[in-house]
Amino acid sequence: MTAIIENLWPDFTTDEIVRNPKIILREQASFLGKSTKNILTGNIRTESWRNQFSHSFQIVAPNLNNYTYTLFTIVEEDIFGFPCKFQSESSFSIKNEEELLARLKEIFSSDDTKKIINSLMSQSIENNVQVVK
Amino acid sequence: MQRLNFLFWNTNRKPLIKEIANIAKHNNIDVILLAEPNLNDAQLLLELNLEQVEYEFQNPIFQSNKFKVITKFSTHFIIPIEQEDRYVCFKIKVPVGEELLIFLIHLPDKRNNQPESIRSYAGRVARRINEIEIEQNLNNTVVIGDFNMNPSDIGMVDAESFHAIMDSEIAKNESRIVSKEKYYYFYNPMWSLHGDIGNNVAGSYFYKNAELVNYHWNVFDQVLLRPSLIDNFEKDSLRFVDSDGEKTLLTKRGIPNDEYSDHLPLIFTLNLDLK
Repeated sequence: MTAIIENLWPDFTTDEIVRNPKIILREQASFLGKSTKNILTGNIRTESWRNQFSHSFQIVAPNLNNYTYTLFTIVEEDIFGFPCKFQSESSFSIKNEEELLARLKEIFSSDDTKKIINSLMSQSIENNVQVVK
Repeated sequence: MQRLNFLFWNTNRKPLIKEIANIAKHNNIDVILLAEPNLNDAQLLLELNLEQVEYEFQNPIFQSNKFKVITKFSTHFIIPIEQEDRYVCFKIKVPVGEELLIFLIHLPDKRNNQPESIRSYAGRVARRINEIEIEQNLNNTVVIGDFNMNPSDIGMVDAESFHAIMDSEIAKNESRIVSKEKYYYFYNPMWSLHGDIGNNVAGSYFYKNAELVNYHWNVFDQVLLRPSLIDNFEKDSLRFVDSDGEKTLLTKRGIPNDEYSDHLPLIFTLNLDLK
């Protein structure tokens, strides 16, 4: 007689997939290309280290030998994504998606970020670095 | 063979134009690396090039309010690679040889951060250095800056961080295996500058408080070299600068004078005939 092995798992659906910080950052990284006419691109570099995931938001200038500027890093301290830690000049906790989006909007519109983007765009157009590649 | 003289200085947001120019002139500095700069770029260039037009500000990409890079090289020889809050990375294409990979770093300070946080940053920067070396296929790496750690701190020595050791002969083994993982060495010559025997000062940063454990002198300002550069490094050239050549940077008590910076400048020489 064969024993019936019961599946103890409930059914999982994909209807309630939580948007984690990496997904949100990747979406915003893809918008950077559109906003700069692809002169600059956004990239998320993820590092997994001792049960932590850190996602660095990078601005890449393809016309400047792929020079990379890391704007900030988000550290997920467990597998649930939120709360996560924002790290740049200052470090603070972010509770949820809404708060992350609000912070991103603030950072992307800041004078410092605009200065960096303008500098990278104008130098990419001048294209003087590519001469020595 | 080309001698390259490096200067690193955390200028603590002081407008030390005259002092930087004096140190550059008296020590024939080729590469000036600054952390926490607060100075007018044009005025600094005017002062540096007062007697002879030699220095250039490098690519404005990495002239931030955190770091500045000024060299005697044309901008064509300085290739920016990457920047984030805590470091700037670029290559120097030395005319006579191969390339140098330079990381100018400034880790979080000890007053506002737990030692564990500084170690955590250090580990992340060290892992990124390893990755960039692979991406650039280059290991002639110099890491220089204000680490906010002493050479003996775990964040400097830990194989999963900078893995920077004091013995150049051991470092020449390039790597070691721990628990089946391969870890590459840095050579850290700064151990020799912590203490007053044979040195003009016992460190680069002085801090005294009423805690029971207090080192008084710290060596937060450091340079690390990959083993491939050890034979190019002039050991005798490494020192903290206590005078800009015209006046002392120390108080009467012999500690860094805050009127200039609370850190002393660091200089050293690489002799480059890279194979």
